[in-house]
Amino acid sequence: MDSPSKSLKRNHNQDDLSRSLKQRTYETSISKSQYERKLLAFETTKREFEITMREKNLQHGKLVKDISYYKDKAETAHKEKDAALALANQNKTENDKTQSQHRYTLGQLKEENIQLKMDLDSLQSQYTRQIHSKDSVISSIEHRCASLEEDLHSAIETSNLRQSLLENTRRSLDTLEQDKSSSNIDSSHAYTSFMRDELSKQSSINKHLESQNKSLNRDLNGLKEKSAKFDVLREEKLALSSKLKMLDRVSTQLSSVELERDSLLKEKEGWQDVLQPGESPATVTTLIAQLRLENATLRESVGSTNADKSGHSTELAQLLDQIDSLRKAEAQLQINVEKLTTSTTSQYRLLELSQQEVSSLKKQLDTILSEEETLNAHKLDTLHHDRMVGLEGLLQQHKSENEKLAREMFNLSKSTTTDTSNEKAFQLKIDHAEQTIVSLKAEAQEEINKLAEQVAHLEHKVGRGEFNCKNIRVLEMRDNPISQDYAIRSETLSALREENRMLLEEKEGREENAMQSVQSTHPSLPLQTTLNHTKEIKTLEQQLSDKDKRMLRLKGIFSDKAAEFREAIYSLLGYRVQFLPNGRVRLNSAYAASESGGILFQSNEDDQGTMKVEDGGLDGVEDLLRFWVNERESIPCFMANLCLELWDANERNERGRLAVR
Amino acid sequence: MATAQAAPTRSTINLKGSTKIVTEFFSYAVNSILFQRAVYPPEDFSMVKKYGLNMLVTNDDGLKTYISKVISQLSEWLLGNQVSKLVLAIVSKESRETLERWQFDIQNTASDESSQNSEKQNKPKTEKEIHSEIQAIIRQITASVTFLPMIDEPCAFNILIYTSDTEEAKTMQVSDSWVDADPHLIQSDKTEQVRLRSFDTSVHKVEALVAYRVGEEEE
Repeated sequence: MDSPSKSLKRNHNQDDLSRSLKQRTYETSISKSQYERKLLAFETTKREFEITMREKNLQHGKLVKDISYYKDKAETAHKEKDAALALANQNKTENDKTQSQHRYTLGQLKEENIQLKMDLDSLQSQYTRQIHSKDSVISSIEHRCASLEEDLHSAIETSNLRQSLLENTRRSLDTLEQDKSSSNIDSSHAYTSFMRDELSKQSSINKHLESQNKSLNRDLNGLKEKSAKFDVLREEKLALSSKLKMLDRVSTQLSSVELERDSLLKEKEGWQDVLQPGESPATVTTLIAQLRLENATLRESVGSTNADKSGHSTELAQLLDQIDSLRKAEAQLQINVEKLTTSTTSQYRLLELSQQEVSSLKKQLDTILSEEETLNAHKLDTLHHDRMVGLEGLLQQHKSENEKLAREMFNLSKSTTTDTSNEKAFQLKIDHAEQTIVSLKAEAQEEINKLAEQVAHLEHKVGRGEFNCKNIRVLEMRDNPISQDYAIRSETLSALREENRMLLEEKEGREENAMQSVQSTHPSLPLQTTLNHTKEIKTLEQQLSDKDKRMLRLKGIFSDKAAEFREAIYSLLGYRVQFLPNGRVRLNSAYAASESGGILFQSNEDDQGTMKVEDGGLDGVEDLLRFWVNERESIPCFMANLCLELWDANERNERGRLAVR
Repeated sequence: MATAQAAPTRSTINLKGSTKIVTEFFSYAVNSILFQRAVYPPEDFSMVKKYGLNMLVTNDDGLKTYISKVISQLSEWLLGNQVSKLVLAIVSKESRETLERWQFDIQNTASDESSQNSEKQNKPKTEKEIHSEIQAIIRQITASVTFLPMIDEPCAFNILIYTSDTEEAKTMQVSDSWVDADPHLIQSDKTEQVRLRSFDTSVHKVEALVAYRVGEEEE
């Protein structure tokens, strides 16, 4: 029993095993195929990656090439830039050099100019000195000449006297010779010898005098020649000095006149612009009056157009009212027509009803007659007769009513025809009125457009400053900026005119007459120069006042900012900074018990400072000083630590005070 | 004896208050225009806070005196309803030609019957609302330098006051410091104008307009 069961079990196990094996093999085959597929997929992805890698490598190579190319390019660009910069720097240096050279040459030229001016001044002074020395020489020569002339006169007088004496002696000699010849008196030898001696003396004196006379005559001739030359020189000197003075004056006046001429030309152009060329103020005023008249006429035309507009608008309103009334009438008529149609329909219905009743009554009568024939009721003759009479009366009544209704219907139909004709007439009227309204609307639109244009035009005019001068006044302050400017300008203009007039007079005087008269009457003044100087002084003063204002403003801003800065330091670092004179700075802690103490910093010119702790209220300040300042040489750390210590002490004090309370 | 009285409401602005607002506006507007249009150098102006804006006010004593005189007279005339317009004309010193006209039309809406009916329907404005309207005008004045032509020549300015079209204004007596003026017209073929915003105090309505000369090269 056991062996078959065991064999069955074994078979069963074998089957299970074979089944599981098969399943496993199937699963392994499936997994194998899956893995194969995955492998294939991985291979394909690997290939793809390889391809992409190759591509990337290629790209990388390209990029490397590009990088090298761009590097080269950048280097070349950098080199070019450097070269351009170097060139630019070189150019700049060259330019700077040339500029400095130009500046130097300019400075030199300026110096040369100053030197030349100085030379000119020195030459002028030298020239004037020479003139003065020559004047003095001329005056001395004149004196000498006068003395020589006096000598000459005295010599001539002495020579005349000597000549007269000589003639007298000759005459006496002749008489003596005649006496000698005539008289027989033997003259003594002594007397003759004496006479001969005298004669020889006289002759020698005479010879000496003659020689003196000759030399004096020579001197006189020379002096006469010299005096002629001296006169010429004096004349020349006078002419030259006068010319020099005149030239000086003319040059100064020329410069001032040129300046004035320029300014006057500018003024003239300004005035020409103001007054229009070729127009006088009278024409300008007439032009203004014409413009004002034009303005007034334009305003009148605007007023008339406004009036027309208002008339048209009233007409339009009337027409619109008419249209409204006509529309209302039309509506009323339509309502009437509707009422009439409803009434006619009701009448028709009534007619039909009555006709139906008549027919029904006729039928009733026929039925009654037939009943009477069939029943042979002789007794009821009278009753039937009465009923018949009643019914016939009813019939007649209905007939009359029917006729009345017919008449009414006829009348109503007539009235409806007249209503329709009236309606048509009204419709025509309405159409006509609508057409007129449309045309009026178009006209009104045109008018509105025109008026809008006019309004725009008038607004433009009002914008540029036109106004109704009949009703409105324009006022300004008498002393306004424009009038002030105009007053200054007119003042300068009048001053220039006056100066011009003076110069013209001076010129005319100079042309007419000698220099002296001009000098005496109108001394030439450099008015324009002085005016320019005064203007320059005014502008400089203005600039100075502007600078002062700016300085004040800056000072104000600086003080505000400094206060703000100090406040910021106080609130952030806990120290109030006070800048004291002589470069001292005092710091007071926000947590200090007393305001009097603090830390005082002082620095001298050698940039060496001292620090003095005046706050002795805190214990341990000396230790802090030693620890931070002496040992570690850090004042900021000392300050921070001191601040903390002071805060701590303050807190302790506060707590103690609260505990006491 | 203490009496319980209700505090006066500040919702309505009377003529005096409106005149004060309007004249104050004119003072700041004139200063702003003179600064923006460089009629006076910028160093002459200092900054003050007004209408929620940084306004520039002149430091020049002469100019300050002139503006204060004009404003005080304007205030007097506004109280008498005798002013219709205030014009600030900027004139070239060289050519004496008017370059710009800043025109402020003043309308007394309280006395004007046509506007009175419409105004009755509106609720009265608060001072804050009026200030915001004024702020808008001042902003426009500041922004006007973007479209106005550059002034590259020395200029002077003048303030003109136009009387209202009433019999009282026609026959009104003015002090010796005030004279009838030239209206400083701009040449008609060279004018362009821009209407600015307006403000309303429920007593006065002020409408601003700037007309300016256009150069030949800009046409």
